Amino acid sequence: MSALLKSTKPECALNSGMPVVGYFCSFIPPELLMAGGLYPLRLNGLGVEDSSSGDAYLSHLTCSFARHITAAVLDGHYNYLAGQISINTCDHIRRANDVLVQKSDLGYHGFLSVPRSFRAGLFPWYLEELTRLKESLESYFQVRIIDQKLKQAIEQTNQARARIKTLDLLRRQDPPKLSGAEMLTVTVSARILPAEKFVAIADSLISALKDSEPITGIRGRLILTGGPLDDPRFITAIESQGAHIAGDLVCFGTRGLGMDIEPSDNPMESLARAYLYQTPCARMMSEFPRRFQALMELYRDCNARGIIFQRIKFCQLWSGDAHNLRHRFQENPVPFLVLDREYGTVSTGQIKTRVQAFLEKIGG
Amino acid sequence: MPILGKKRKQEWETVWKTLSDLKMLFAGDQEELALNALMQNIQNFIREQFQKADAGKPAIWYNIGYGPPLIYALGDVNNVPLAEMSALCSIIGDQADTEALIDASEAAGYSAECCSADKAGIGAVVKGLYPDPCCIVGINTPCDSQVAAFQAMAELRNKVPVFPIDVPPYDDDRTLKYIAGQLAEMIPFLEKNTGRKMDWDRLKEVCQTVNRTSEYLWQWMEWRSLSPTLQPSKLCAFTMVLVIALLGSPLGENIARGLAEDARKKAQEGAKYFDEKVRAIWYQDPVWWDIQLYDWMEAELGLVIPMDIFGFYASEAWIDIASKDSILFGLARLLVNCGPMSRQFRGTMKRYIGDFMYLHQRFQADCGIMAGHIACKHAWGGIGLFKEACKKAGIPLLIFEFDMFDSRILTRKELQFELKRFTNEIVIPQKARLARKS
Amino acid sequence: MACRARKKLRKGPQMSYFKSQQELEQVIGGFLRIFPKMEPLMREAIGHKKMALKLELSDPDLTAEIDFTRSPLEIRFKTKAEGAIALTTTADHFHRLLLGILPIGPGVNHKQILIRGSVANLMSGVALFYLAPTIYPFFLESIGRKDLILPGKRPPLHGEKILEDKMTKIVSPLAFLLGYALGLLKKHLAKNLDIVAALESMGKGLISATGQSLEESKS
Repeated sequence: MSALLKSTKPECALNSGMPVVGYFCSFIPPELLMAGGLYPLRLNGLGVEDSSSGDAYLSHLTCSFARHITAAVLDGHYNYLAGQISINTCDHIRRANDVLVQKSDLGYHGFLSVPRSFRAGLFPWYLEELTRLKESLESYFQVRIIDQKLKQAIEQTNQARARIKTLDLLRRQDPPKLSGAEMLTVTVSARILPAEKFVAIADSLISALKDSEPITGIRGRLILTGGPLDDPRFITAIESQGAHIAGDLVCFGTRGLGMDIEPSDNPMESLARAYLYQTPCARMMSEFPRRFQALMELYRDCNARGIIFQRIKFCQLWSGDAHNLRHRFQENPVPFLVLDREYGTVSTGQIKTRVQAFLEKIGG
Repeated sequence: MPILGKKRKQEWETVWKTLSDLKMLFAGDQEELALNALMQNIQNFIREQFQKADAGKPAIWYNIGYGPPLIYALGDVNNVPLAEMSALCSIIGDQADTEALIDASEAAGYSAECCSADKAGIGAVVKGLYPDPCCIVGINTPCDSQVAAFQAMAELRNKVPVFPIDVPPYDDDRTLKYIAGQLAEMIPFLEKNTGRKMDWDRLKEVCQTVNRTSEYLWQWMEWRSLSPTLQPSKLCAFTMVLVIALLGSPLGENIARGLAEDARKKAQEGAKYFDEKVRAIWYQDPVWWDIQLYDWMEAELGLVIPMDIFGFYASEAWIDIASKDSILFGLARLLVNCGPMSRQFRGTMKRYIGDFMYLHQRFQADCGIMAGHIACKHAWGGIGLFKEACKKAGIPLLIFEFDMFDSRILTRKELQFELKRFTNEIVIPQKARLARKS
Repeated sequence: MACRARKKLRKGPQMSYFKSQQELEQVIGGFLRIFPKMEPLMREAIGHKKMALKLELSDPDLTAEIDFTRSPLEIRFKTKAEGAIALTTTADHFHRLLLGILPIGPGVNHKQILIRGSVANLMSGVALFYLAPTIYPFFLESIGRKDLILPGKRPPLHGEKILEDKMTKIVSPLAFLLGYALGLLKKHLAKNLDIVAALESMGKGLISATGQSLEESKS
């Protein structure tokens, strides 16, 4: 676990010897970058306390996640990046991209426009976008992203996904061997470490957990859902009250890693399907029913007794989801707690109070 | 006041009565072609909606960012923009009703951070103010709030089929063809759910109506570009209303013609009712909760808004009706390159800033006013780049936070203070300095 | 698109009708003070809305609040209250508004009158100024200020009112005939006929017959 914790620091990327390309969103397949000999790094603002330069460009009325990352790049925390790739996730990311393109020293800026629906007719667009991204990476970095390399990269990420599934089961079992906070550390690391390195560390963690004592004293098994969450401290605050996050559907968590990819003769198409059709996030316009189904399946599979929904302030997409969940839960009530937060800080006191009350309410 | 002889929900009756009173009031001033055209045709639109609803005609809901031409081509189908009540209650009804609708949506769990146009619209859905839809069309432009609003509509009517249109943030023909393809894909969806067949001849007529409307709007913009601008500032923003609810219908064409003829007549007659001192591009949402504020700006400050972002109608709106493909391509381009706000915000800040600079020059403006509707994250997210661009160009820029449909965020007094200070202490002195230099 | 706009600045009257604030308070203020006498008619006119109308006049200055939230209605002067709706204009323009020479529509459009408030409330308040030209000249006469009754054309105050109610369609012409008869009486036989008192009585009759109190809203 300590190795994984260390991996959230940038040293791993710095020492890799490969051009490091940061990316914003889970619709960007890291396999594409790996196949080009590039180091894919999911951008985050962990450890960045001052978002002033991001605030100045993006204003205080936008998502603090986007502001922190923007500030991190502008202030040199990411000075080892060769480039970044953004997508049209949301207005905040799009504007962060505008600022990075115009104001940062990054050499490469890529962009992906991802459809907002699973409708079959839109898939060719996404595939075309991925192909264009591939070509632009090849052109700028003077590399070739060939099918063979893609297949190798897919194999590596499949391995990583397998480890995550195994660890997730250890988190999910009753009693669990892994806390929700520890699981988030695992999944964040998976987005920062090279796949091979992650797999090696994960294997040793799985081995160590086989003989470890399970976690006891759990008052309530909960599901955590909502927008991007990369800070395990948030979950630590929740779990400090006796809750256990038995499953999650958060970005940087177990959602957004793409689906397992079967070997095929057309790895680009396989990649596109795996990443477009993964469990949808709130930006996907017509996919709330699918998202809800995934949430309820997880709720049942984890034998959970409540759901915590978290989102970063000013995020309209996820706040819309909270409304829709409330509406669904009017007919079939499920204990549901909404926590709004600011990125970069953890209001421990407030979280503890609210989670404690929630646990009491659900009989924990 | 009953509508079509029947008692309706209080919000509608208030809108109808107020609109009738407004119509009566301004009909006494035959010079006011634009106002009279607006009142008459909005009233006709509402009347038609109720006629269709009473007759059980299918209704299609859609969010801001989408427009009605394809719906008009289906025939007797009711087009219901989600934000309809937001606009009607504020502009020609009781502002207290708008705020009550906003509160109703928030009480139902809808986010306070989303756009008040959508909040009031969701409040209208919660209160049952719209006829039930047979299907819902959604589009992600101009902003995230639309994505949230569409999903909320879909959830609140979750047995109803939905069709989302995906609009990429690019500005090229590839993107327009992609959107045109989705419109083509949507036609069978609309036919299936409305029970109506798409009549391509009728669609051609609708497109021809759009084209004539576009020509009137371009003429209108020309007349407003003259200095002094003699048509009132408060009429600037109604293009948005027209584009969302009426584009493609004769009612929309009538409004556009009224705006153009009114602007021409006023320009040619040259009657001035106040001294124009400052010209500003109002580059964000209008003050819908107090349209009279524009009269105050003109009378008290000499501050004129020759154009704003809602009023600006781009030159790309022409639809070639030669073939089905060209029609759909034209409709796609109209939707995303001409729809106010969709045009400026769906891509990078380059388009937003570029359009501002263009308007500033074309309308001979002295400054810009960024009335920062707090839910406009796509605008606030670009504020740093926008400020820099204006500074480089030497254009004074006023920025403040407010809400276009909720008067509780920034009060009238606070807004007046900002405008007065900016006009008198920044812009007028700068104009004087520049005049001395030249 | 070249065009030469002839610049024609439309100015108001060159000299103020009111020499001093005292005179304004006597005339306009006096007129406002008789509103409570005609309260039933006024409330009918505004659709029984409970709201306050703020009046802000300048040159000379006068502020007043016509408060329909109270019963009986109250008129307050030199008030700092905001009012649900407000009308801001010069004393001269307001005088012409009350005489019906400056209808409120054109007055607003030509920036001679500024209004503030929710549009629905404004439209209710505006109805008072459809009534005023009927009453104000008689008031001026009653205080010995016939000199302030300006000659000249009275343009339509508003467009044609579409009467939807059948009974209103019948009664309105009859009411016109009654008013005409009163006018003839005043002109030829009873020069001192107090029209304001007559309107006050009409209002009382309205209340007595309908059994409505001043506080009841229209259903």
